[in-house]
Amino acid sequence: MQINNLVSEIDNDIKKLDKYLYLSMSNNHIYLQNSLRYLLKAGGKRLRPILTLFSASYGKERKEGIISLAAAFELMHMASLVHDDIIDNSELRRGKPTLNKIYGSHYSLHFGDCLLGKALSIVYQYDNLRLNKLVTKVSLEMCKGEIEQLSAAFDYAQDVKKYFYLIKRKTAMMISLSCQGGALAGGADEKIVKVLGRYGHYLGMAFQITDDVLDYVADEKILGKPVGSDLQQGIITLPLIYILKYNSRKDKLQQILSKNKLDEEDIEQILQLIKETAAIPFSLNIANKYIDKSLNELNLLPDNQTTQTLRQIALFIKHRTF
Amino acid sequence: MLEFMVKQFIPELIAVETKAKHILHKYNYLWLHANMQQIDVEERLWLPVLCLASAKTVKGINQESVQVASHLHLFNIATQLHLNLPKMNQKKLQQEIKNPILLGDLLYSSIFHDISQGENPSYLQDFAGLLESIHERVILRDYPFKDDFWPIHNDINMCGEMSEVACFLGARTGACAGEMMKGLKDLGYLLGVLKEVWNTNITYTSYLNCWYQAWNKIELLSGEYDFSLYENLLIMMGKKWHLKKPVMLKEVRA
Repeated sequence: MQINNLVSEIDNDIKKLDKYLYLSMSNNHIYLQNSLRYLLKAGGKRLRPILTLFSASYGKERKEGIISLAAAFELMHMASLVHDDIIDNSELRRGKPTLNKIYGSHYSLHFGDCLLGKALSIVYQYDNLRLNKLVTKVSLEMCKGEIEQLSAAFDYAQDVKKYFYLIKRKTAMMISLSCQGGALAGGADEKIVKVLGRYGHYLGMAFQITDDVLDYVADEKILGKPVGSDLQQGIITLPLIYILKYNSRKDKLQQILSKNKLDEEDIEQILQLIKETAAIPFSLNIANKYIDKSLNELNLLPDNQTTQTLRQIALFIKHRTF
Repeated sequence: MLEFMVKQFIPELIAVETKAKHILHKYNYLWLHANMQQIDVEERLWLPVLCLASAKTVKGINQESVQVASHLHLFNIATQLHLNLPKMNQKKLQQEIKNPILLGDLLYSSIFHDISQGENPSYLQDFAGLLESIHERVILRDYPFKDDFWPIHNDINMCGEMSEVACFLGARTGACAGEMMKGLKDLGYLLGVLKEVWNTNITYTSYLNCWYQAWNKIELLSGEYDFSLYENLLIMMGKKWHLKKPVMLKEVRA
């Protein structure tokens, strides 16, 4: 199932959002416009702006007034992906060559900076102090998370607490911001803003854990990048932490990981180990607990069509295969 | 070139460096400070000095001027980190490029976060706009059209834009508005262009008009304000190119 099937009620808004995104760099040079077009055409679920649009409908503002904010969040997300791809030296994203692969690190780095500048300029136009504070805080925490992740690479001693710290900054804070930001800009009640913030946080945590599981088990063609790519970069995720901390086969895994450099055969062995142990069910179980928490938050919101759709989005994250 | 200007603002520049340090300390990334020190002093202080000079010219330096100057100081360092990335793109260099990218990102985010927590979040717009335009310039510099003039031109414009914003923001912290603010902004751009030409040793003749335009601006704006800092800066630049200060109308009248 595609997320777009769940959100048909805001089809028009999504079209307007896409149009806004495509035109957001129309004042910039053609190089930049083309790069943005490339990234937008590469796909993506537009999960963050969709959540912003839905969250805004709990307020008094019309959704139309929120489209630019939703676009700003997508641009901010894209900026972080572009920089991540340089740092991870990724060649593929969503099955297509990364900007980094096509134009090189320099171009991508500066393009990412342009995207962040554009996104912040749009956010500022809402003239909302709290929104400004929230957005800049998330941007800062995302950077901190990225630095921490890099320094924790190949550190096989890290625990679940550290993993949660990292994925909160990597994904959950941005998704939480998309929900809170939409509600704030839409003029929703304070209580609703907070509930949506927590809903976004739990959803984001579940999203990233599922993403980390898919990195080990998904079909490479559907995933759009090589299976086990986190492992190759030394990023320690929940399935691996499970074996290293809680499984009887941790010695076997430690023996493989003790090598200076992992070759293809080692990766294959680790993937096999992950499939044979309860690493995947364990991780998915935690993801499901976060989904349950997000669903519980929704019970505090008015029982309407929007809440129903947010519920379906949470269930979509739970069952997603890519 | 900047030495005599730095001397004018030593206490303020100490405050600027301390504030920048505080921002880093707040986020527990004081180790970044060591990396900053590696950047050439003149390169590091150019924007804060312009901002302070601009504030001093219109009203006098206040707490806000120092705050903005310290943000400009960090912004400049973040930009330098992203600009000076190793050129090659091989895997062995991956580690070398990771740190400057992440440090630059962290600095930019720290600046934006600090501005949004402060009393005047309107600076957020100025810094966000600057971030976008500076990096667009870099892209156009590195991926030029067929015309060879473009890369240099973009480098020079980049310095012009950053200096323009520094002077503009400095004037704003001095509650300056209208023609004076616009004039200082324009002067900032011209000084930035000239500084880059001065630094890169390219033929100055193509930019000679900027030198004269800067003097014209000073003549137009001076009146009740003291522009001697800028005048001295232009004289200093002119010396390298064997240019003498043009005759100013007020001097002829005097």
